[in-house]
Amino acid sequence: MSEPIYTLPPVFRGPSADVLPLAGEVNWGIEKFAVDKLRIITDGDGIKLGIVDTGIDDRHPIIAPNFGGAADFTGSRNGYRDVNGHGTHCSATVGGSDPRIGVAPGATIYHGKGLGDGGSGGNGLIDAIQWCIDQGCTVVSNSWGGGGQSVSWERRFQSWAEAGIWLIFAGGNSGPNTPDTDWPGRSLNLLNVAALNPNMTRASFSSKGDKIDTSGPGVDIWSAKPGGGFQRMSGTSMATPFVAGLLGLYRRALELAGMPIPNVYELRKLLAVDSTDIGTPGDDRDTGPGYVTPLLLSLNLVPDPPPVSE
Amino acid sequence: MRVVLALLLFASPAWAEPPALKLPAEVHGTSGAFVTVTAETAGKIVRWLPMDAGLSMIPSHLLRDTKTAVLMAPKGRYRLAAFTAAGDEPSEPAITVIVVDGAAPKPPDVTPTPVDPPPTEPTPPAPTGFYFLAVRPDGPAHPSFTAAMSLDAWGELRTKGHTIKDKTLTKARALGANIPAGTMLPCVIALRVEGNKSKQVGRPVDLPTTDSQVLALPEAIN
Repeated sequence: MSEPIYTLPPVFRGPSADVLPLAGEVNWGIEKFAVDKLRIITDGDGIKLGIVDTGIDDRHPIIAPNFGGAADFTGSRNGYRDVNGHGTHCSATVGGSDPRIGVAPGATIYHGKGLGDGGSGGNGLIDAIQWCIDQGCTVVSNSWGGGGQSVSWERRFQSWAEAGIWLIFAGGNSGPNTPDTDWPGRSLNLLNVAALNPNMTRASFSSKGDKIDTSGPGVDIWSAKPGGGFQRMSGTSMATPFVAGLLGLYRRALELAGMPIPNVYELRKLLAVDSTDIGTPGDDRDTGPGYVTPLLLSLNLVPDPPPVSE
Repeated sequence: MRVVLALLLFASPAWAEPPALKLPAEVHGTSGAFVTVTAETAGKIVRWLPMDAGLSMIPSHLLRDTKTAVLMAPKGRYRLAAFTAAGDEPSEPAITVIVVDGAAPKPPDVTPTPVDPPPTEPTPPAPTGFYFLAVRPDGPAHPSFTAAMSLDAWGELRTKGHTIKDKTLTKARALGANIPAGTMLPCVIALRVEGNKSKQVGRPVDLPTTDSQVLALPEAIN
């Protein structure tokens, strides 16, 4: 049986810069989604978050402070170093130390290079996820897909889901005229993310589908560029690490509150009611239940009252 | 230096005696405003125990300095106990009287009984405020609901000892909340937590959409 090939969704690369623009323009989702509602509880300190992508620039000034480790599963002559740019961008969005970019700026990040320097990968992707989990990561961001369904991979996803691991995947950038989002994103054993514009509507490129679990900011997102400096990119690839970082904060907040950690199936049900609805009312093919909402997640950190007796 | 160190070491007792704790006999305040009480003690952590109903206290774990209690109460006289500890040994509790709006003194109907603190880290006192449950239709939240729940005033209510959470209608009813048919959603219901049960207070009210409406919730419920 031939090895399935998965690729980066087509990413829209914008300008790069040595210095960042104004805070609100950097990753507009930080303010618009009110990430501070969870950051007042935790900045991610104490949690390990994984990214499976094209490698990482571990010397970048906003990555180095939070870098936990990296490994290459592609056989690249560059090792785990990123020459593509996609992996460094996504990694800094999850847990870059600059809070204008990194959603969980106190987290420790691990990078499994499962996509080669050209942006495609095979079984090394699964090995990279396993490596992140072996390092202690409980949330893993995956901005790739589209290679067709694999039964053996599905079994791995299920075993990780049942072990309490939250895998976050990009839904794909094929736009509204495709029958469904990419696989693995539409697998029931993980979460699938759609991308939003700054006006909180579905990004034109974001794939429609029957199983979208939540939405995040995915247009004109600034993040780290290999070799230093910053770059702007658009794609469900950018929305996915945002959601992964945010859910990393939520998971850490649950740990700090001594509350049980839901598995990914329970988390999907929770996101179905604790997202904020946008566009077509209810769970729809554009943005799923809506956008991931730190405020509503934070209210879950309060224990339920005892039953009402009268 | 070595001599000084040695002296200091020998000067330290091998066991820890609980430090003394002193409170003012009476503290006066007005209703609707915070009253603060400061304990004089060499102990590092002070635990506070309201002894009379009606005295709301900001949970001490939310305050940086546990030697000061921040309270609020309607007109009346209230007893408040405090103690500290060293190692496993709690101090003798001290008791002060909080007088709100100059309430006339009344003779105590019972002799104050000494509190019986646990020997080590006591749990913070149970919240004395309302448990406000914001109830919304099933499914994801409407943007207007998220906006209303984002108001800063909810945080202020929390500092006054209230608890805030949201539930969908189905989940609120599963808790036993009485939300009569015809109630406009989203709404807020108030619960009083008593042991392992909650008691619903008043009727559901509309979800506040301004800070001033949020702050008026405790009165609106009653």
